[in-house]
Parts: sequence; structure tokens; C-alpha cells
Amino acid sequence: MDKIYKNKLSYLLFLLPALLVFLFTVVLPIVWSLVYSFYGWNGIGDMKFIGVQNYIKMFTDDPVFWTAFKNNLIYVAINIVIQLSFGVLLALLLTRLPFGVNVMKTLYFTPAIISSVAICQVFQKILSMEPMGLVNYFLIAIGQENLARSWTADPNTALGIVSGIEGYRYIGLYMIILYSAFISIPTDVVEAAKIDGAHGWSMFSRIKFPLIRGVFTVTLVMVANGTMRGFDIPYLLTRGGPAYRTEMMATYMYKSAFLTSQFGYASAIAVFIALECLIVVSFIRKIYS
Amino acid sequence: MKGTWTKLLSLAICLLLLATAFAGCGGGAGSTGEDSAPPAESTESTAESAAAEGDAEPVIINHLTVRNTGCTQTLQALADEYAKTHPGFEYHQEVITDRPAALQKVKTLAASDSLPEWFEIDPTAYCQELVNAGMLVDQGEVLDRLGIRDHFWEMGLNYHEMEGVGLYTLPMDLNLEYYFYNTELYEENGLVPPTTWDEFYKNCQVLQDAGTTPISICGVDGWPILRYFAMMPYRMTGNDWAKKVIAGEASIGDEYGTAAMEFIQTAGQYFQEGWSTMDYNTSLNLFLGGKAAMHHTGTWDLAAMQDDQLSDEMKGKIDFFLLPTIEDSPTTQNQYFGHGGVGVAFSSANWSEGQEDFLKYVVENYSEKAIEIGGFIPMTKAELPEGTSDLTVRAWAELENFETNILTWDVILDEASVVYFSENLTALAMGLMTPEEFAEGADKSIQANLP
Repeated sequence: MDKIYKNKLSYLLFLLPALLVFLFTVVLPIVWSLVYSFYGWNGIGDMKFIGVQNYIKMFTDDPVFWTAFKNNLIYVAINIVIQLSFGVLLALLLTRLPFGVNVMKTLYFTPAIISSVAICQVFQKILSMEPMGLVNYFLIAIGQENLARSWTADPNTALGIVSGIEGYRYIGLYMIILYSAFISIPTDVVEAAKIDGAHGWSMFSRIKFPLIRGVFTVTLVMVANGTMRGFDIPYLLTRGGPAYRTEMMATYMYKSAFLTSQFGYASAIAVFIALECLIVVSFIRKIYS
Repeated sequence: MKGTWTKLLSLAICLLLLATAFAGCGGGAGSTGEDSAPPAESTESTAESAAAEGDAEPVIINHLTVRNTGCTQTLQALADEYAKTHPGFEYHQEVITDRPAALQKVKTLAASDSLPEWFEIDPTAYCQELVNAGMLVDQGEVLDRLGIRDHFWEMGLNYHEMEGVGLYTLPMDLNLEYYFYNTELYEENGLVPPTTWDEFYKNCQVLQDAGTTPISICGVDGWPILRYFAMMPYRMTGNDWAKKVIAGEASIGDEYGTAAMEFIQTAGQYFQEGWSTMDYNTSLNLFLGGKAAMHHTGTWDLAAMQDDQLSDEMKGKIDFFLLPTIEDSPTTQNQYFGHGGVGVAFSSANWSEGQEDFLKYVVENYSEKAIEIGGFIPMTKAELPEGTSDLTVRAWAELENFETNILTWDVILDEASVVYFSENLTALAMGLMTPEEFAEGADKSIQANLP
């Protein structure tokens, strides 16, 4: 066993399978997309080399692209706020729970493992106006008829609703990760801080949060990365509508490929998404390091 | 001793894990799931080897359909009968009623050369590209060679025949599109079926003032709002304007386009709340459940409107009127949307004599089976039996008077423009876009994608 630990080559050998899988399933498709992005192709005819025309069109001649980019930034921002703030709050509450911690963890984590289709179907029915869903029924019952509307079809609320549903879905996941981080804080540090008079907000902001900073950075990267490529909830709930109000980069990329048969252009959007994720993640790591 | 057992247990678990990994590799034709077409090669090789042996070819047909109506039930029933006398014959339907999703699946399969044996597509520009790539069977040639063309209503074949290209998609039903309406809601509000658009919108206003949703429409599929865009220009000038637009010779901002856009803006005020993200079945059920007064759809939905399918409150309360017109229209009331429906295309990679034999059986027996199943107009000539509902009899009777089909934008436009029109007409109808903005973008899209 010692021989294996001392032999550096053995480390490489053990890492190799996972590295190969990563190369073939992540890096290779990105490179492939990069190549396709320099071509015009409808999926069945010949591929025609067109240089950087797809990128020129994307940056200068496509208002829908910029709408999707802007929507995606708002989507990311709302999700970071919902998922991380509620994740931290619930994790802290869990640390104070005397019993039933595992039950609460399971209940809160459940939405993250239910299929996106099921979640969208449920919320579509809850939020609809015709036929009347729970939310509107409740609003009318409490005398707020003017607030009742088709929440997913109203251009003013659609993006917020879609972001909120995505946020709700993954709160449990981040709650569990941050809970693990909170309970791994050494108790003697917390005790010492208590003796020095720290409690409540000062305990959290000066002691607990700095000690989980590394884990928090990872969760921030996970949320940002995941929501920049957000597809399932926006696509299933509203198809990017009404009138592009919930169009995301990934949904627009998908539609460009499979609705308008512009595989080259869609590949250019895919490359942009990949670069965007890299830049944002590097930026986050730089701030938090 | 303990260490040995631990090592053996670890080895056993590792082998088990490896075995599950290799089990995944054993997939392919044998493990076809609900949502994957088996590789073309397996069917082709089966057909070829069987033909070489001179035995009855085992024929396997996977049919990707967008319909869950009388039409597909008829096909399934005929396939079940055919299978009894043709051992080895299999026919499977995969139903995807979401039109855009079905088209996306077809495009994905086409790009990876694994189209199913039968799949459904409109005679559009994309269909022509599949023809150019040699992926579709020339059905005009097949029908003539098998001598079964006479079974079809010419109206259906004419609709699917692509000018200068040929017949590559076959109709499985004929569709006449009407404004179906709720007779009880009309009577309660003292309304009569309109013949002109002015009367139609007056009715809409009365219904809306009475707190009823005037019109139910599906927003998510895209094509229903494109119907509304075609209605007014057709009544003003027939199909000429549409033909000029797709040739790049007329602007969406001209008088006919402006009239169409204003029509959309007016109609948008009378659609149900949340229509833009409502799916097809929900919008239809809104009408069938008595929550909306009118719904523009075709005879493919007749099966859902029969009394035995409706709630007690709705029985016998559905009727229809023809597409309204305008004064001094060059078109008649008998010129509206009537066509051969979604077409069935046949993948040339998998085509075989066995499939031709089944197709012949389908065409020769379709009318009888379609009448038995009921609720739609088959593409083959048929007569209604005694006891058919009054609604169906009258819906079919219009076939005798029908004159010309209105060209539908989802079929004649290029793909990119269909997407532009569907998304932005929704915005126009909701008041989120001005006609000028729409026209500018529409013209640009059409010009950029001219053939």
C-alpha cells in the first residue's frame, strides 16, 4: 500500500478514468461546438464554412440574443439571492433544531430530485387563471382580485415567477451543503466567541460565515454556473415566452438549433455560454480568494 | 480469515459494478424505449435478409405521430388487423402532441440519420430539404404504381403536393376548419352566428361584457395565431398577397399586412387570460368545458365534441359557423381553411415492399375503419353511416361546398420566419409590440431567408 502512496504515477492512473470521461463528455463537445460555430448548417445538408459570421450576427444583428442575455443575468441574480440566502437561513435554523433534522433535510431536498416536468405541471396549474389555480383563488378570496392574473403569461411577472420556481427547487440542496459546513465549525471557537460576547448577527457575520467562506464560495459558483445555463424550468413552463420575456441563453440556443435549423449559429451561442460561465466563475473565485 | 472474506466481498462488489456497466452497452434495437427509434440498420437488414430468402418480410414500422385522434386510432386498428395475417409485422406509434417538440425530434433524428419509418411533417421548406437530401420516399410514384391514388380525395393530395417537388407526404385525414361555438352562451346573450368580421367582433364584445371568455386559442404551439394573421388579408385579396410576401415581393407593412396586424391586435383583446403560454389540449378543453364561447379548430377535433365525450352541461351545445368575411370580398364564404392535415412522410432508408403492402392495405380499408371509429374525415372517399351525430353530418356536408384553401403561414414561410411570426405575433396581440416593429422584423426575416 505504501508503494502505491509513494508512486506519483499511481495517482495519475487512478485519476485517468474520470479525466477521460470529463474530456469526452465536456471538453470534446465544447471543442466540437467551437468548430461548428464557424459553419452554417441546417442539420441535413452540407456544412458551409462561413468564418465568424455567426459571431458577428450574434453580437450586432440579433436583438433576441441580447434580450436572452439580459433575462439570464436577472435569472442568475434572483436565483443567487433566493437559493443562497434561504439556504443559509434554513441551514442556521437546522443547527438549532433539537430533533427531526434528518426529516427536515429530506423534506426540503425533495423538490431538487423531482423531475422538472412534474414541477412545471404543478406550478402551471397553481398559477393559472383559466382554469383558476390556487394562487388566484386565494387572492380573490382575500379580496385582492386586482392582483389575480395568469402569472406565467403576464409579461411583467413571467421572468420573476420562472426564477422563483428554479430558486425554490434548489434551496434544499444548498441548505444541506451549508448545514454540513456550519456543523463542522469547531465548537470551541463558537464557545470562545460566546464568552467574548458574540451572539446573533455578530456571531454569524464575524465567526460562522468567515469560517464557512470556502464552502460558500463553492455554492455560489454552483448556483451561478447552473443558472447561467438554466433551461428546463424556463423552457417547460413558458417556452421562453411570452414574447421572449423568459428567453434564456440555453433556450435560445436550443430553439436556434431545433426550431430554425441553424446548428452553426446555435453552436456559436453554446460557445458564448461556455465562455461566459468560465469568466463569471473566475471572477467569483478571484473576489473570494 | 476476516481479511480474506473482506477481500472476497470487495471483489464481488467490484465485479457486480463492472457487470452493470457492461449491461448498458447491450442496448440498441433490443432495448427500444418509448421515446427512441430503433436504428434504421436493424429494420433494413431484417427486410433485406427476409426478401433475399423470399419469405414474408418481417416489417417493423415505428410511427412518430403528432395526433392522438380518430386518425391514429384508425391506423392502429388497421395495423392490428394486418398483423393477424402477417406474422412478424409490427406497428408502434409514438405520440407527441406538442407540435414544436415533435418537429424538434424529427430534426434531431434527421441530423443523425435515424428517422423512424413513418413520421409526421407538413409540406414545408424543411420537408423539401429532406426531399433534396434523399431522405423521403416519393409517394406520388408509389400511389401510381400501386394503383391506389383514386381512393384519395383530390383535395388532400393537392394540399400535400409541393409545387415543383412532388408528393412526399400523405394525408391521413381531411380537415375543414370552422369556428365552433357554444350555442347556450350565444343564446343567453341573444347572439346569432356572424357572417362578417364586424358582426364577429360585436359578438365578442357582448360576450366579454357579460363576463365570458369570447375566444379560446392555444398560444404555445405557434400555428393558431398564424391562422389569425391569414384571415383578413385572404378576405381582402385571396392568396395573392401571401404568395407575394413569401417571394419577397410584398411587405408586411403594406395595406394588407397592416390590416392583418390590426386584426391580430383586435382579436388579442378577446382571447382567454394566459393564452400565450397555454397548450393545445388545455385551450380545447376550455371550450369543451363551456368556459370559452368560441374556438377555431378543425374537424380533427370532432371526436372530442361528440355528446358521449362531453359533460352533461355541454351535451348538444356545440355548433359551428364558417369563417366570417368582409363586404365586397373577392372570396366567398366557402373559401376558408381546408386541407389535408399533417402529412405522414416515409423514411427512404427503411422503405420496403412490406411497408408498401401495408400502405396499400391501409388505403383500401381506411374509409370503413375511419367511419367505424368516427369523429374525423378520412383522406379516402367515404360516406357517413346512419346514426352519425348531427354535428358531424353537417361538418362533413361542407366538403361538397368547399372551394379553396387559405394558404397557412406555418406551411409556406421559411422556418426562421415561422418562429419570428409565432413569437412576435403573440407580442403584437398582447400589445407588447407595435405593428411597425413587427413589420420591420418580419420583412427582414423573410428577405434574409428567401430561397
